[in-house]
Amino acid sequence: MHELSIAQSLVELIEDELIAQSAPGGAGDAGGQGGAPRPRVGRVVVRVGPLSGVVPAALASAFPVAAGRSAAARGATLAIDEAPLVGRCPACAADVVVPSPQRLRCPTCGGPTPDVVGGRELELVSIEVFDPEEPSP
Amino acid sequence: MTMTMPAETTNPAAPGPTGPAPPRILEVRTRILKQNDVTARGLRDRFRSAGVFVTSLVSSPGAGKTTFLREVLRRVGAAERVAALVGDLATENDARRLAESGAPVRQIVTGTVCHLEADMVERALGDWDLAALDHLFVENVGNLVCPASFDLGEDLRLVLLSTTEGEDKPLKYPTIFNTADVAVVTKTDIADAVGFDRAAALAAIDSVRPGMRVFEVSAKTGTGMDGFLAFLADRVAARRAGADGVGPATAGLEGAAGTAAETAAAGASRAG
Repeated sequence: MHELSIAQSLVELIEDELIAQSAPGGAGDAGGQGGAPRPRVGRVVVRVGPLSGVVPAALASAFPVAAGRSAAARGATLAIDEAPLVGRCPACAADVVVPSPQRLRCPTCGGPTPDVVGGRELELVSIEVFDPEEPSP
Repeated sequence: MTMTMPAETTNPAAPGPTGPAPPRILEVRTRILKQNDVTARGLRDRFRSAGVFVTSLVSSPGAGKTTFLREVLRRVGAAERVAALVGDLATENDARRLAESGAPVRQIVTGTVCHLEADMVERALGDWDLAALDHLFVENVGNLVCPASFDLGEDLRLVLLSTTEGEDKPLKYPTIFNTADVAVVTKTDIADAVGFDRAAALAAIDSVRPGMRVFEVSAKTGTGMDGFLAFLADRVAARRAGADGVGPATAGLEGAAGTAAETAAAGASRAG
């Protein structure tokens, strides 16, 4: 059960991205904890493949715990996009969607698909950001 | 303590005259374990420049990693310079067992963490002179789930399956088998006694990782060890000749999915 540590890595990545984005003349000092209004994170989209080693449901339960510990990501919601398992079939000379990681076989010809070309994804895809209101001049 | 706030809700904190700004979507497309990948890449570079070949071992608890590795250390160590790192949740017993081979061994006690991560390996290496080694072996925590996601910078990842386990273990844990390069079936000396269905086990391995090399060994009697060691020597020779791949599948995906996307994302964030 390592999804909590994965969720923590995800939250750290979100924090890093927010800092990177707000750096050039953005809404306040990225390193500052108090005072300046900070952007609020909404929906976070991740992409998880069946060979990533991560169980989507476990990651979904762990995410609010990790996000709750972060000032930047508190209240964020997680959307998990489950990537298909894609194997390269030498016989068909094609990339094919393999229905199960338990059986790496081409659904068309039944031959083995030793090379996995999709399905190991464990990626942060996008972050929805609500910027703080600009103070009135 | 966690505030649930649907994305559609307007920002209540700042009701300005112009109304709340619409949300922005930051396109990131970055590996969640980017930090581990970066550390693992650094380790891999360090191992290569030191000329040390790094093999990691994963299996369920009790599959015989330590006994197998002790025998490998003893045999390889007769002619080459070998060392090992061993991860466990608690105790230094495995380090002591491995040290019986005569090789230098360091224990990584992970505490509550159920797998090794690249930075644990980096810390455990400390100031070890890697250039004084030909082989480094890294024994992961006994666990067939969590280690699958973490690249440790190794050249070769072995997954062990003992004859005392269910033949369908690979079907239950396809990810770890799929991220390993080679399977080792251990405890073949007691295969008959425990009713091991060899054909079923080999079929299960081939189902989750078609074409995977399988070695059947008994560390206790020595059966099959020579075949594995010959394979290892070939891999080391291929590495030295620059003819092999980039390590286990977790490392491969870093190149396939991570690098290009990360470069693009970094460019985009600088531009935006």
